[in-house]
Amino acid sequence: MYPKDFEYHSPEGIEEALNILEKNGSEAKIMGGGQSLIPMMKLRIVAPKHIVDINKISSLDFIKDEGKRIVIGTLTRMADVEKYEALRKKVRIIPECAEQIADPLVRNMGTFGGNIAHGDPNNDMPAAVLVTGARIVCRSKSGAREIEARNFFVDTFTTALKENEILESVVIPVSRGYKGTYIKMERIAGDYGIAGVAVWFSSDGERFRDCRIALTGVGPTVIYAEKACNYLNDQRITREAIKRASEVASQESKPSDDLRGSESFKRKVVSLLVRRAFEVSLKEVGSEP
Amino acid sequence: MKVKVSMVVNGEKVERVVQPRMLLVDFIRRELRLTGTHVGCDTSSCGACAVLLNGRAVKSCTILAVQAEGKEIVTIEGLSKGGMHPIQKAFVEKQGLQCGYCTPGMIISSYQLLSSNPNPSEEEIRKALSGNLCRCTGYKTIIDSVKYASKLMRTEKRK
Amino acid sequence: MLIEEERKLEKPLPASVRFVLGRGKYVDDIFFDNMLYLKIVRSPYARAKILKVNGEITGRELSASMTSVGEGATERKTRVNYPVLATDYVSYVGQPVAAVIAEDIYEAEDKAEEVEIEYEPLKPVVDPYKAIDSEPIHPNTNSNVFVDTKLGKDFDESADVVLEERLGCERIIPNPLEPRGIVAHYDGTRLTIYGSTQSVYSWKEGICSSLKLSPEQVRVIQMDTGGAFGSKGGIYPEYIVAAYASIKTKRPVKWIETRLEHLQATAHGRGAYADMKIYARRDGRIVGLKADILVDSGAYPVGVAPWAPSWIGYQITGPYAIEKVYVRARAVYTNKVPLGPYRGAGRPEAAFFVERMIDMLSDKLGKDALEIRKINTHEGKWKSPLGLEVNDARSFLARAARQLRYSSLKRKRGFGLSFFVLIPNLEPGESARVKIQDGIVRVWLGGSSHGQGHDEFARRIVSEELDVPMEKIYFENSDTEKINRGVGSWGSRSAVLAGAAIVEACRKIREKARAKLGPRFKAEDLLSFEFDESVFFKPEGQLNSLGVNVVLATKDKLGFGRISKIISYYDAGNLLNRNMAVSQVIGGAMQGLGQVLSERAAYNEDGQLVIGSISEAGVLKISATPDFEVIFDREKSRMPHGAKGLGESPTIGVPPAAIRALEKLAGKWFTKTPLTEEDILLNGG
Repeated sequence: MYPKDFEYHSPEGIEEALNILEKNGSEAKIMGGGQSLIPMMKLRIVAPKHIVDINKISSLDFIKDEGKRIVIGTLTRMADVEKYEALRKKVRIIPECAEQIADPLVRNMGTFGGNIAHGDPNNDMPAAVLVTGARIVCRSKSGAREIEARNFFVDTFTTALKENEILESVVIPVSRGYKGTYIKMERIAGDYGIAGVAVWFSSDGERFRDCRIALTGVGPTVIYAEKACNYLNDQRITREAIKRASEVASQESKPSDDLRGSESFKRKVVSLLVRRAFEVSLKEVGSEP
Repeated sequence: MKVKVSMVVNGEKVERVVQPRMLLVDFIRRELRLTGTHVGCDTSSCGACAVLLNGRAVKSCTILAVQAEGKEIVTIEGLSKGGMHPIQKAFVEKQGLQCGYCTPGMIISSYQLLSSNPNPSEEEIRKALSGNLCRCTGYKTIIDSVKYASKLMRTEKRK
Repeated sequence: MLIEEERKLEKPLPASVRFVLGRGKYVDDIFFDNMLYLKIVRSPYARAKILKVNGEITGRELSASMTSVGEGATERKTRVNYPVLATDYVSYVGQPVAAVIAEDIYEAEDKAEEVEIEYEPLKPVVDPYKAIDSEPIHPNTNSNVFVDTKLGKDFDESADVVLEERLGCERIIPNPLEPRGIVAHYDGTRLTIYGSTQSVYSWKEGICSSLKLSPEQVRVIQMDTGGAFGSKGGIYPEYIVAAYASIKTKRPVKWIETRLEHLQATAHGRGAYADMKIYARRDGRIVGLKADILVDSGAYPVGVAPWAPSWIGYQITGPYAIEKVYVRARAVYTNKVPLGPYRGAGRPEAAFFVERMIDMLSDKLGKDALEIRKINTHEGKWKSPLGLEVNDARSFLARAARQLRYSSLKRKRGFGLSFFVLIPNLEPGESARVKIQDGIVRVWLGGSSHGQGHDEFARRIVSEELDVPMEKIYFENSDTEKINRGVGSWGSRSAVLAGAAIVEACRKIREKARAKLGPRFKAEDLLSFEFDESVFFKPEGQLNSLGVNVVLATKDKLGFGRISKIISYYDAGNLLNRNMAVSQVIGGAMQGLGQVLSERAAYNEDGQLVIGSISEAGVLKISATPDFEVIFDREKSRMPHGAKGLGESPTIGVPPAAIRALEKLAGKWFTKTPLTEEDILLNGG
């Protein structure tokens, strides 16, 4: 349970970090909080030759409230995301998701960008940023590009981030009138939940508008439940509609049998969570179905 | 490859030349011989290795020593510099331990909680300690200890 | 001796104070200047031939075998040899094959990766029932069944009701927070061992026997021990390798287990199954019980495996007066880490089997949980056909029902009740030493404290017996040099036996003091002289006690069954320290709950352990902690201090009551532990 030796880089600016990445290609790995990377290095599942520790690049540790959007720097600790007031007020699903990640000690070190860039289908934050319609800002030496969160998660531990890029920040749009939440089914014991669900939607009081549902831990990557969303859009807000949508979402999930449960059980959990997430979100604004 | 790393541990500046792969917990235990911080699980599940890094509780088995460069670390030994801390007293009095192995980590997590929330509810205590495992006590007496510590600390403040 | 000097310097604070200050001294806290670090290279296969090994220390060089020592150890003639390092074939994932030593543990891990081993994988035997008829896993044997005994007399019975069920408790990983560890230090003539252990004597015996050393050459000292639950009583291959490496290099050698090693290579507990059959009258009275017990002993006949089948069989009737009992008890080899004791060691399995059948019978006959248990108890002393003594179960149950307010509790929907007997492991006794010198009383015990607060009860007994203030009494960890003979701390025995030995040692001191100082001496007088008494206390007869658990369950927001409260009513005799007793009961109850809700050493069909962390092994988190209520029935025992066993009671009583409470909510019959999350999703979601 000790990492293999590696060459350690501790750049103080992003340009320097990008140079190191450019030079070492696939042999370099960026380390933020290290809360996912270090366990894998200790197990020697991964043994990068170069570690690029970005902790000294303080310009990557920020949350900016720009009114219509909130930008979160990659190095922002999850514990800070959890407590950031403007996020609570404007895009509450983000801090609500943050506070369900791992445990408080891990969140004190683990970073916002790391949870997303790791590409782990069991990580929670991808589902939350995805439903908010966030854009992921990736920077390389040739400049920055923005990727829709929906197009960012490619496969297990694979994202659209290139070897020579750093996930710099995440831009979260502030959409007035939207509500929703992130709910996760925690196991009674164990490192990961069984499944998680993010819902984010608008309504005119009577009907659902622009529904977005994303699922954690039930596929090779975070899953956007498009059919369930399409079904729910323009439906009247009723228990039946939500139930139907939860069943559709459950069909869209792609879980596999493992220690955490059978495929069919996980589908049931997805459906339970979707229902509960809508019920909780609607209850909070007083328009119960 | 070795690198120089320096940090402030329990108020004192320390400097060592170490391999960059050295975990913070090994830096604390082997280099500094502060053995109150323990290794329990290796997978950042149990929290026996918890220390304060710039005032925040973290798992030192999942941090490289080099990541703590220039930072301030407080270990369980550092909490009792001015005599036994009220949290430590409370854990003794309310039997918040049996084998003692998880105890330093539990106290570090409790410390962070009580620094920002002097009068936590039971639910808040459970959340704050959700990154620490205990195999002996069933957690009940640990929860009682934190409640009692919060009382002790509030009384102390009023004095 | 570095450690001894440190111990002398240390102001003798109570253990709990040292622990909160971070001043515990665990084995990994030992740093000798020229210490080497040992890393074990393990088999990645459950079953394979070894074709080639190229490593620093291999079985060719260290050709030694393991012996059975510790809790439940039985001398058993077998053709199966458990090598310290495997040479011809491996039989479980994690089995030690080679070892490396280095100046630093990081380096040792690098070196371990360089060791070359070639294997030819074979199809492993994983399922214990399939193992019965599978090809034997060991070449010199003709069957995987290596224990097959019968207890009691077979009988024919035509009862009103006959119920049959296959029940099981899957393997559990002990997972104390502190992993196993050892520092071995050979100085050219003597070997000193520092360990995290429940028994310094088992270690000494095991090391002497494997390495053919004489008892004078070996001393074992217990360090603070961060939990054990059965896993640190016996001897393991790593300890022999560490001792050997120290003798070879004449330098101190440290080996500390990683958690992954613990999961794979520390003996698992439970792993017992039974085909149960009960014969009952329509009024609920059970007239006969048959059990066919199968123990999944893993790859080698060490630990509790050879003893477990008949031990479970012996107590299969629980506290009930059942006239006809017939047990077949078998143990089979499988390609898994050998089985060992885990808090309760056989007692929880037996209680689970019989309580499940009683609950099934109560459903079948529409009888109340208390009624059906009451009708099967005896008034006064009862001795089962297999020899188990139970004292007046009927009136105990009646007292429990009153104290627990049974009639109001039973109206809850998620409600489970259990009734059980705790058999403390009294054989062959235990030792204590009390020494007065320089105005201080020092006390040592044969068994090693690993979280049960021995220092508290030991100092308290000494204080009461000698009328000396607590602060003048120092408790020392166990050490083979300080008491010549001792046993170990397991099987709910320490407070009973070591406590009794302390009482006797103190009484001897008092006698001698009277002779020296006259009949009316004071504590100060006593402390100004020197006394030194060691006692090995041997009890006679059985000292079983009874207990009842009630567990309540409710439905959570998502529709899952959750345990909300655990109530214990235990006969614990004269309590030596009530707070500590309560803490023991609550901690044990949580472990019992873990057995039901989550704890499992799951293997796949290739014999690979699919558990990768302490969390995945199912150790419960703080979120699972329910409410607790602990009530003691404090009937003094015949021991000089009136104590009874307690430590294992909750792991015996909680699982059957907890599974029952969830079963009532779920409306379906549960037959094994642990349940899955799917099992407790009520109404199918």
